[in-house]
Amino acid sequence: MKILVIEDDQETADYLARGLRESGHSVDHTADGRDALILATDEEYDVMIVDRMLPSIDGLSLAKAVRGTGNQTPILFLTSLGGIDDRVDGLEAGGDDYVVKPFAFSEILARVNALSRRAPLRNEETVLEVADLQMDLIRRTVTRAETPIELQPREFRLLEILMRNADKVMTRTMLLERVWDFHFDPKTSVVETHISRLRAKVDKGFDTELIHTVRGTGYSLRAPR
Amino acid sequence: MRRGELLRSTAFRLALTFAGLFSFTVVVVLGVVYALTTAELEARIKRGVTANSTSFVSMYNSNGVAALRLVIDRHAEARNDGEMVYLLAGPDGQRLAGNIGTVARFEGWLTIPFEAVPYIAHQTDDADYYHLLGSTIGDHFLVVGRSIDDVEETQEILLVGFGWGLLSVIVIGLGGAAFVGLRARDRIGAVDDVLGAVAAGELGKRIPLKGRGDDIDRISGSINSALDRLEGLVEGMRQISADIAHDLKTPVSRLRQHLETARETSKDTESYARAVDAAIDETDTIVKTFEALLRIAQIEAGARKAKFKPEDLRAILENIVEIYEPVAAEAGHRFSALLPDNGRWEIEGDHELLTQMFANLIENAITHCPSGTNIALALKPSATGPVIRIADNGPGISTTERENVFRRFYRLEKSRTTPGNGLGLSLVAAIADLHGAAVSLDDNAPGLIVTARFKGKAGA
Repeated sequence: MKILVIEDDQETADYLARGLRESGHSVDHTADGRDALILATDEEYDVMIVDRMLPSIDGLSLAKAVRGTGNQTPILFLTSLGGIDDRVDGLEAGGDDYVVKPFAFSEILARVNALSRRAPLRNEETVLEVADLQMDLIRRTVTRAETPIELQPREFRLLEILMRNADKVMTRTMLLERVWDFHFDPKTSVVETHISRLRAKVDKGFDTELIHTVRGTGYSLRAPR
Repeated sequence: MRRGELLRSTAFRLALTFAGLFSFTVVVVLGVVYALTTAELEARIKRGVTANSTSFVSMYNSNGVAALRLVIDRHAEARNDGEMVYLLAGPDGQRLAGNIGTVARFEGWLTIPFEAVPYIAHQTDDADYYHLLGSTIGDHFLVVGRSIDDVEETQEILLVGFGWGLLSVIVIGLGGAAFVGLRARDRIGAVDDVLGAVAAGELGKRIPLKGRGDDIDRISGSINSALDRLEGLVEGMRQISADIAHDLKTPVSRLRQHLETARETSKDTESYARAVDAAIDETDTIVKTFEALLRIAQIEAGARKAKFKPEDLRAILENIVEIYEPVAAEAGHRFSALLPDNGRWEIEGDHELLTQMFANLIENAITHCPSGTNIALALKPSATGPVIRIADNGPGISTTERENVFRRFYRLEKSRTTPGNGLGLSLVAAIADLHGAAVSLDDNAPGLIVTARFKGKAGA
């Protein structure tokens, strides 16, 4: 993927660029918001990583300006501002995701991957399929190898998120936000517990494992290689 | 008493203004009364003179000149103070009767100054002018007149009376203004002093209230409330700084130890990697603690309240139950929930914060109670709003400790080894406070009951 990093702290920018390049992406970097606006309009990026505190133009205004030109490139905000309202402000300004410093690189990588929209948005899709696992979004039913699986509403949602992001890694934080609307870190192992319950219903008794644990990062649903 | 300040005082100026207004009113009233009275009295004088003149004319007509001369002279003699003047002049202008010398003939009313009256006899009057009525009877010329002495006397009474009145208004007004001004100055001075003391650092000072409930008392009350809040916030900040310094040193020291250990004792890359991983975990803990502290501070600052929306407590709790039921089960606890089937359980609040609050409470029960505990969550109505009750039959919290546990970083001795940074209940307290809800801890004999009372719709 082609990624634009807009960050004025050189160390952080290097850290991000190096990590992203090692993961196989191509990275452009600028420290100035105005340059970023020009770059964003001239080139086609798959994801933009924007620091909220920039010299000359702040991250929020940059995002609004980018959206104002009709540019729909996904924007991931990066910031020390972890306040309750800062996240909402970022999303309202046109951002798609929000990560608070200090961050683990795996978190950034997972979210960047989740934001990439290679194929056109498939909002009309009513059935999700991964290997022999099928989810009907209209009828809210799940079957694997033709066998129906009974899921509670939140389990359904968890599986839906995993299936929609099949092959991508979903970090614990991402799942907490998207499945349970938790914007804080719980003390207990909420995600692990629910994943293990889901596994018991979706993987147990079937010949292949679809839900994988990615050590140190999160979880991923993918067809066996 | 600084006089300059008194003069600038609003109360004083106001009182002075009123005194001025009253004085002005008195003067205006005086003017009106004076004019009206003067006019009426002069009219009365003229009527008297006219009546007199008319009676003389009829005397002349019935009894002739000689009789008239006698009558006039008798009148003049009787009224010899000069107030009334009479003259009867013959066809050639010679004086026939009366008490004044000849005057040029005239017809009708004539007003002449005192000095111009050619008085003959002794005169004690000294009025400013006379009203004279001249009439022709046959060949003769008759003049009857009267001084405005009576009018002047009345005018004098009016002036003296109103003069005293005006003086009183001015004196009482000035005196009252000074009194009111001084009183107000004292009270405002008291407010000023307290605010000055607070600005200098004495946060405990409050304005004494006079108990009269007037506007200065009301403002003083409001200022006192603001000062209460200010003192609370400053104290809170002080406490945070002290707590942070004290309690964050532990994980920071541990971090240092990990890194030092890595440096000194690691023999190969793998042990280095392990040590570094441990160090990273420690920094994550520190960051989370900081974020929790920041969040508490933000909540306590209260800005979030502006974004409150109606939130359904039942829906939030249903969510919590669904999320934590498996977690509790895995820890070996029995989690049961008693939520009503329907009804509106709405309060004005913040979805995210409310979720976090209940999550914290449930997690506390899960992590601090030994395996096998029963945890029960219930949503009940009350007269003022929804009441949420979380009860467990675990070790509980002793009465003496119940006050302390809401403090930041506070950890009960028996819980020191369980995961957590001691901020959970502080966060719960801050969120409850923001929502105007009351949180209380009670003994479940055995165990702990946490009760949160909200204001809003309960079941209706």
